Amino acid sequence: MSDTRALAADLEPEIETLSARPTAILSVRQLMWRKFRRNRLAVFGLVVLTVMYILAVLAGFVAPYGVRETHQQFPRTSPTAIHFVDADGQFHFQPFVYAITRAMDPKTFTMTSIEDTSVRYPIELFIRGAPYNILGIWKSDVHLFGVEAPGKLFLLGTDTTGRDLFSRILYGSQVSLTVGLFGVILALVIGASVGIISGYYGGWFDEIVQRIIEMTLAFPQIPLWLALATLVPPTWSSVQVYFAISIVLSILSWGALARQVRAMVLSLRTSDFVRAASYANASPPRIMFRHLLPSTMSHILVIATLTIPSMILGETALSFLGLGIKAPMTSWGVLLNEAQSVQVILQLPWLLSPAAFVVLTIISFNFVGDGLRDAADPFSR
Amino acid sequence: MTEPNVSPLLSVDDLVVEFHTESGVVRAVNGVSFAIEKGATLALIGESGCGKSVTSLALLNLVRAPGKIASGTITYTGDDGEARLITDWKSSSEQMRQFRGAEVAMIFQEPMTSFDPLFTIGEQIVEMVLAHRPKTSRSGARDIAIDMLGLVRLPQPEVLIDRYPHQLSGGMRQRVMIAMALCCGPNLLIADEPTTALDVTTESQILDLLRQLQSELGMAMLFITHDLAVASEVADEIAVMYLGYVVERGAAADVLSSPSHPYTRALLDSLPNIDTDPASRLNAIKGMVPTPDEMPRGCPFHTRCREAMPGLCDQRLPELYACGQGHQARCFLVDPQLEVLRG
Amino acid sequence: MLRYIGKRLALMVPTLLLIMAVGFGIMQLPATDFVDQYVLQQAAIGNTGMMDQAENLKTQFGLNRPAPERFVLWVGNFVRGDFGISFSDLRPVGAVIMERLPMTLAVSFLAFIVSWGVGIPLGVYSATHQYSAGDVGLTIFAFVGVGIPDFLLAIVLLVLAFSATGNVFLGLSSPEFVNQPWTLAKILDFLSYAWLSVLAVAFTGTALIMRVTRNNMLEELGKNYVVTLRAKGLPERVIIWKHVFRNALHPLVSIFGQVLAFLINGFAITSIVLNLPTIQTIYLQATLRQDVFLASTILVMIAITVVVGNLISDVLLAWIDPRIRYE
Repeated sequence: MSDTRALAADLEPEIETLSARPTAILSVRQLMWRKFRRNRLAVFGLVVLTVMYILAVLAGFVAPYGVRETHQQFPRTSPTAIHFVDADGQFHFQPFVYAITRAMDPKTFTMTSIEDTSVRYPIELFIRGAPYNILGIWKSDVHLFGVEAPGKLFLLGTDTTGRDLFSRILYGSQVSLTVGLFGVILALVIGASVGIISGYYGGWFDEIVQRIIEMTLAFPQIPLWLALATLVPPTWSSVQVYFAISIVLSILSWGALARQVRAMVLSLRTSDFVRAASYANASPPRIMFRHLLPSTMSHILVIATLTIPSMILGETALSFLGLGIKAPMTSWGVLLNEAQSVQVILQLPWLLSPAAFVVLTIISFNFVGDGLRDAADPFSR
Repeated sequence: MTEPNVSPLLSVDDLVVEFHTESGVVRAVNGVSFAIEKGATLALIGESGCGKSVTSLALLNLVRAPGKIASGTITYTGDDGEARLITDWKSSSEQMRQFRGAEVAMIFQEPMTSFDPLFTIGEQIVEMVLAHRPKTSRSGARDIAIDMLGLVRLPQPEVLIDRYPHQLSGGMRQRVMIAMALCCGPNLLIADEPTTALDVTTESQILDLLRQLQSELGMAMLFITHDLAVASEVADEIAVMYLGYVVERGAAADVLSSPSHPYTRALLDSLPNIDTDPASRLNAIKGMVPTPDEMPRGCPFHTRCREAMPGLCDQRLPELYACGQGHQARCFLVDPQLEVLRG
Repeated sequence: MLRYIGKRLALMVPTLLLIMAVGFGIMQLPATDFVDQYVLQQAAIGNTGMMDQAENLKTQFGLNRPAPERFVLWVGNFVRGDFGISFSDLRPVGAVIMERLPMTLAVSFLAFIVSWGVGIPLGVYSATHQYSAGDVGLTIFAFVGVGIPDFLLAIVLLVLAFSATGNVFLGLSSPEFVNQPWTLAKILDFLSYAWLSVLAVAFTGTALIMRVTRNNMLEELGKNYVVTLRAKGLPERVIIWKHVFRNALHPLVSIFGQVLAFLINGFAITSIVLNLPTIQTIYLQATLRQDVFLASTILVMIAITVVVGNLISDVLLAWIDPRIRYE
């Protein structure tokens, strides 16, 4: 009996030290988040993307002008200069713009903008303008910022017909940021299902699926996208075109995804929790989608995040060539479509500004994807 | 005992190795001192994470960023009798490069991952010979490699030399590792847990081989292990490390027969013994090794020590006190002034 | 090894057949065909006489036969090296493609060489100088490089080159060299145009390869054998290039085919934007006009490049890695 007492005495301090330890036990999700947060670039990317998507949803409110609002007197107008100091050298806390007049440059015979320093329009918050409607639930005509009517505020200039580019970029993000997302979701649903089923069953079914995936991987992606995009009938509505483009984008991406999911399922198939589930008489679909799917989820998320950029690029490229999204719908690619020739760019360089949004978005997705990939393995290093 | 005028082959004085991490500076090696005589074997003993591997890497100036040798000296006295201060050399210097492998060679725990998988073992030995003796021809280096493989008792060395690491068994790989380490005739071989990854039979064969080679070649050995039984087989002297500190050191026989530090005693107690009642439990040391970044105040071992004296051990770091001829322990229990301290 | 290559080659056949079928099939999906489009076009410019000839043309092009029959015929001829005729040019597809193939290959090849030749040393530098100013700069470059669509880069370069030199570098040769035999002067002229498209296409490829090289190098540098190599007293140069780099090459070689596909892909849109005389540009036109044989043949040729690229990368992989070679 002295043995047990000795043992108990032995254990006691151990229990004490354990409970006294400051380090709490963290769930895998918390560990992942912790690791993700330590990657500064990933956090930066996440913040940028969050802001972008919020702006996309609130485009109507944030954009000073409506998506189809044309300013007939102001085509090809360069970005409006924002001033703090007026012509008399006086400083104003509230930034303002001057009235713009258009005049012919006598040398080049092109229209240029001239600031009329006699008329100031302060930039104001919550100003009334074109009516809009957010997600069909919020109708209003109050805009986050702008200037009183005859004044004009073109943050990034106007296009050849006098539409405000900044407003159109915000509206365009609604398409550009979601077409890829929708495409990825499609690719995910197909890829993950095929991957899980073929990994779980194996055998001849797996063999055939693998051969098919190998074939899809050999397909030249962009030429095929081009060919498929030309198939979209010109009579289709914008919404139909939108979904058609998403489907086109996802058509080859599911293969790579299915392959990775399958590899994971293969390694998990013999693990204890899957065996336990099958001993408990769980049906194969239940095992596949209740047990295997969640364990592959973090990797699927990583792959998805890293696939979105190529889809955004694809949409931009197709629309740029006039094969993707079509007016009246707008996207970053559609906006860039105007900036095709050297002459236009030299005269209206601001038309390239949607490219900055494309690049920033893609970089941010890559940052987040990299961060997630490291974090998905929370126990490494 | 050291003759007063003959300097040891390698002497380490007050070595400190620090790692600069996000959560602050971590001292992995904390004022470690020891000396290795020519032809002798020192065993560095401790649990994983106690700093013994970092110490061995520091001897070749191979501690990688974010770690670095913060202070202390390492002095090497080679065949020419000239004492060289290795800690003065930059890690990337040519002197340091020539020193590594030629004067002090090293073998590692994991014979599988310690080879470049893409080259034959012969090539990996040959390139080392050529790096240190540039005048040797390739075929000359190859002959040396074959000789070395024979020296470590590998059968058919002229066939084996063209094999890739993945084609050999663990025990064979470790023999090749030893052959490679010895190909430039080093005066000191650092063996970092060379038998840990091997099964028991292979382990004793490798230990036998190391002992035979040592007596044949007259080299010294720094043997790093967590296994007291292994240490007792090979070592002339033993240094026990705990959390970056040397807590006890002395002749192997003295340390093993009359351990003076509670940690050494606990380690010895935890070994299964032929006389132990099979029904009884092994005496494991209570608790876990604290991670180096939560280094306890006072004696590093007091959190797990059965004989810890509250108010003393958790306040002050004990020094290394002599407790016999060339035998020291870092514990207040052997401090001659213990009674004074206790008040 | 030979058996392995043979097996891979055998697997290529169904893959290419499927690609041919898809390429051909896509062209059949619209209700109209090349002749209908052509006739409508002619009618639009007032040439209504074509209406009567439509049936003749369709018979001439074989368009009135059922699609599967035409496909089998085409594949049969394809194997014998007859790719059919281009409806819009009324010339053999082979001739139309051959006209553009040298330029296409030249630009792709240059871009490929530049991507690897620049990407690898930069990646190795970045990994061996981790967290240095150079590494941070290169990392930013890599992320921008992967983020910027190459056709946009092409436009920006075009504009910059115009502002600097006053030349518009559209196309791949000066007018006087078109249809001239390849002489040194023509090659120099070609290079004076090609640098822009090569730069635009190679930029992303370089960034990608640099990134992969850096990650692989860092992973390899953390492995045990590197400590052994250092402890052996090998010079750092040998450790990096002979050992670590060769190990890091492994995953790089496995993306060899992918990078090739990537360049061809990226090149497609850049070609169209810069109006380069390449097969990618004519592919889009052919697709839009339903010039079936021309479009399908180009698609298959591009697919063959990708498939062969993958095969080469597998063979290279086996060649550098004894563990695969001796399997």
